[in-house]
Amino acid sequence: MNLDINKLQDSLCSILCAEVKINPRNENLLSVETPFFFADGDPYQLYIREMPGGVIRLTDMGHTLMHLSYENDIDKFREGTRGKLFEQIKFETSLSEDNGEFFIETPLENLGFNLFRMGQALTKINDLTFLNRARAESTFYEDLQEQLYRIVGKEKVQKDFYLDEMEYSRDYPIDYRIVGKHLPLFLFGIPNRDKARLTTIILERLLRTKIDFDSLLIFSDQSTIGKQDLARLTNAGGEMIASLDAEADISRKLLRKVI
Amino acid sequence: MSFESLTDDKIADLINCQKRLTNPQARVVIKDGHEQINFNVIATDDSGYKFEVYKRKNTRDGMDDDFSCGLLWISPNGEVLTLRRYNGSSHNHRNQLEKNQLGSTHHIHFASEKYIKANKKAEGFAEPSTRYKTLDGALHCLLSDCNISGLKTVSDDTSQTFLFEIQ
Repeated sequence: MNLDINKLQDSLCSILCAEVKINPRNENLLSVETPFFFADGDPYQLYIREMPGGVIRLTDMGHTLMHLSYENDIDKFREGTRGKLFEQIKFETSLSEDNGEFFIETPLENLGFNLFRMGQALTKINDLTFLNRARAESTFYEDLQEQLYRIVGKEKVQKDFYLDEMEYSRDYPIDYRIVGKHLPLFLFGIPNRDKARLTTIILERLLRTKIDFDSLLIFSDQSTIGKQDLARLTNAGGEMIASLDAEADISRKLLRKVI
Repeated sequence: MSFESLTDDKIADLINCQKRLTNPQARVVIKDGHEQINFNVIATDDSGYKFEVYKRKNTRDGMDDDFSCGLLWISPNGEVLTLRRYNGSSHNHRNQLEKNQLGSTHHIHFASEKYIKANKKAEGFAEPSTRYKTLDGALHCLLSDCNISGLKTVSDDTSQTFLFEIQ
């Protein structure tokens, strides 16, 4: 390697220094400009507050959660899977929280290290926004398709199928048609209550056309579907799988019906 | 639905269509140290578009300039996209594609095809604004710019008041 490590070190240090600026904001706060930005180009808002005993508090003054609340219900960051991740991030990065304000208290000599750690922590919290309902549903359909192709083979699966012999068939899409041993198998992915209701309507319509078919309903999480919705769907549909995690059950039920 | 196929024409269509707030009496909620109000908005033409207008204000001491209001489009599958956002002057926005910074000034974010195509957040581009100084003034500009009726607002420029009264 021909690189001069000392020159690299100096260069990197000067670049990093240039990216960090401290300015007075008011008599109690200094603002710290850093290279950390939200995806929309607004910077992480970081401030320094002097605390008793020579301790420095690096704080976001509550801006991060307010920023995330523009497009997200931030209550959900404290519930279920997201809530667990939220607490894990705070623990891993030694981030404290007081009524939505994130901060790290540090002696002066560790300020640089903790500035990076604060940036890392806020980035991880920002990434929790990727776990929203629409994205989770999209991932569910991708995972479902991947499993189907793996179990029965892509050539036997027809995605977004419309039964042409049915009137207004475009209004009644079938997620997947799979070539069956005796009957065509219509498979529906069900990530939420709305899709459960729509699938009930589609199945009722199919039954009215008096065509022979099998159906298989695979839920993202069956326990989240209301009792009445589930009862109606159970009456209209065939076999069910409670979640994609039950791959052995999906495989067994599919292969029993597929050529 | 992803927003990859959204064009500037479609964005203009979403911003320019006539809209109306359906819950103008929505109350302020204090959450995690900031004030929140969310208004539901519908298109009054036959497009069926749904939107949300939000107001946010940081209530901590010394953070008076940390406020924001914006217009979200709620797509048919529930994903949301910020069409416009009017920010206070608490921070130095950076336009990632133009590689410039605005300084600590009031600024307006605009959704654009250019940023979507570049795999950036749709509203990544912003311009400085002197049209408002307060959150209420910013909300007045937002409702005016985006054709939203149903709420009485007051411009920071006192010669322009009550343009959008409750009907």
